[in-house]
Amino acid sequence: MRKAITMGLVGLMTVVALAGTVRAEEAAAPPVATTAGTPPAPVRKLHVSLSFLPMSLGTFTASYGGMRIPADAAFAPGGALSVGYYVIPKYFSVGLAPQVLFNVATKEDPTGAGHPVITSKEIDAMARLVGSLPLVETITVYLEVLPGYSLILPSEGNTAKGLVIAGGVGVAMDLSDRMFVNLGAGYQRGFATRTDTAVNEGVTSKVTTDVKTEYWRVALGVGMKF
Amino acid sequence: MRTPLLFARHAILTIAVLFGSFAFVPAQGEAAEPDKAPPAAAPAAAPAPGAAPAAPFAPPPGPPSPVPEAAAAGIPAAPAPQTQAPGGHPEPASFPGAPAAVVEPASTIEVGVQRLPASAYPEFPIRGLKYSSLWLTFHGLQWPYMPSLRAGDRFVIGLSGWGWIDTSYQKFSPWGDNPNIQLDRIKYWRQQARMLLRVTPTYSLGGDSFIQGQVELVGTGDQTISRSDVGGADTDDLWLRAGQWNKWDIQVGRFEGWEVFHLGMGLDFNTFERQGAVGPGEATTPIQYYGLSDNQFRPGGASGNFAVHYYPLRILRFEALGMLGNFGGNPAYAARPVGVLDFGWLKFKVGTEYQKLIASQASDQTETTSRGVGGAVQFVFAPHFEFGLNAAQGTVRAIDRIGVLSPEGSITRTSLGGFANVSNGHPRHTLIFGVGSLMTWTEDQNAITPNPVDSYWLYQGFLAAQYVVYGTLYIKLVGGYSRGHWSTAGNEPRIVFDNEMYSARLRFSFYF
Repeated sequence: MRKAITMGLVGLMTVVALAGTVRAEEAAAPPVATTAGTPPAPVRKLHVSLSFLPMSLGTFTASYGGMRIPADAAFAPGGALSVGYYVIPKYFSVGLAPQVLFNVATKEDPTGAGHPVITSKEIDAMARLVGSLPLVETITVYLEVLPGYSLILPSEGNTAKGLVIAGGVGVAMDLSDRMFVNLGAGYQRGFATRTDTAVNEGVTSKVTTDVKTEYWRVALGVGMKF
Repeated sequence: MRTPLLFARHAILTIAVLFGSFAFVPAQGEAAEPDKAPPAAAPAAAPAPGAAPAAPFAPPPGPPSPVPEAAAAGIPAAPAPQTQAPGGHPEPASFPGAPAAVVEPASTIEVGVQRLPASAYPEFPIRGLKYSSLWLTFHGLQWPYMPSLRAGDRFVIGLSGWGWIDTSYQKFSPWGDNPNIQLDRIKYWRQQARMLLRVTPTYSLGGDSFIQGQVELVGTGDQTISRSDVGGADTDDLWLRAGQWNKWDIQVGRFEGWEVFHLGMGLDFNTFERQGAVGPGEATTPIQYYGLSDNQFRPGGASGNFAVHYYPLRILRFEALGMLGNFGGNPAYAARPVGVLDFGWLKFKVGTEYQKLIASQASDQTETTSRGVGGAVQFVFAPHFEFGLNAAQGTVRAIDRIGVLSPEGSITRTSLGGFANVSNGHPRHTLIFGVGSLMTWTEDQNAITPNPVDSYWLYQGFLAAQYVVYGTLYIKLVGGYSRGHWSTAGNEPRIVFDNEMYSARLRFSFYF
């Protein structure tokens, strides 16, 4: 058994070593293509990307028993899908960037009463306007503005709705003619409100309260151009 | 007027004699033009360790004589062929009362001062994406790699080094029942710096044999001082090594053990994100990551390492490291064997360690025994992507002065981590994004009723972007997030609290 394992290990190492040799030989091959006569890269106007949004620093403001209390927000991981079209190739694009954030809540009960914290899910339907500036080949800096509409869905209770706006700066890096990654940072603020229906001595009334979220926004994305 | 002229002449001659004792050996390849070739900037052009040099080593032409008039002043004109370049001679005997000219004994070797060339940084098969965190580690390879590329002996003093300046911001955001929570409601800025000059005298004995020493002379800006304070660190590396290139060596002194647990583009030494969400309010309940790291870093105090390195195959390396000395006046010793299987695109690293710290007083039975095991797997898909996963677990067993086990001082530490780097692979405008996460759990052994176990965990994550200018200046921006959770139960009721830390850091590094 031991011998078989040893033989297997040696075989595996040999295969991997040979694979490495092949790659090295390929790498040593003389270049064939030259830049002279190379056709210009096609202009790709459509881009699609997926981003990870680790919203770690922020404020969650809501009303508790009629008292409006802003409190530190808990870490809220999220994701975004962005689809954009270059209106001015390389420099300006417009598109859509819906995103969803999880664990939207305060870190602890802001009333100090020890109640369990109610967490929410935030869905933001956002447009995305991006101004880009290619610095050098493969590296582009960008400025983005994302206005939109937000839904905050708590694990229990009514949904809050309202406007949301985000903005930021970032760097996009081309990995190939089509593929790119981007890293950006910015700020996001929501202006949602929630309307609760209260019945008091047979009289029904509606009470509207703020449910506002603010986050320092970080986005790490990967995308393709078409 | 004559006196100053004589003095100037003798001073020039003295300087000429001193400098003439060195033959400035031009570095291989690109490093022959140091202003154009940063040492670590062209590893692709560097020959692999053990590989034949691209071109036969030509004897150094020798610099032009700094004092050509010395020859005209009566210096013996025909030194032995092995002697140094012109100028390496005693003073001329032309002035009144001077003794007869003395012929300098022939040296057996030349002496060179060399900015480490690219070939000194071994690149077999591939260390990582160029300029990335993985590329800046050597995976156990012998470096600086300075073999004699021709027959005969050679003595070269290699010069290299690096420095960095960090400007960083940190903010804590604690909550829960921590009685010291007010101590954690803080934020602050910090700038700190460190620069070192690495001097590596290397005596190559012909063939593959060598004797090598290295000292890293450190200038430091704060880093919260230490190394016996008053100015902080003075040296990092300080070691001697002898052996055969790519076969084996024995090393002794102050140096780091081979890295197993790789953290990526963030979590650098002495940084906020490395410390994590452990603020002043958690001073009595510390937690930090464990990455087979009790004996990896340079030991403090009057202690040092010794190690045997063995290279049975180009892809297989072993280190058997030992440590001996004392920490704070108490005797300590340790062992840390590590193995690296390195196919280039795939790297396996595994190791274990043992450390014992005892009291110096014979009547004091205090004893702390640390054990650990860890491993890592790393992938490099050049030129765009690399990533790795790490895991390690260690225990600490503490015995008090009267020989009784201290359950609260005896802990188990477990860390899991991963990193990923992506590069545009551009030869001139290299940009790298890095991401990493690290999770650590610590539990004490106080599972004796009615005292339940103390349990802590710490998460550390970062995002980084790095741009490299001319292959030597690294500009890196790192954003860090960390959260710690403490559940302590030394006394009932259990105290539970959390802390978060946010950090941003801009680092300028210069490698030369």
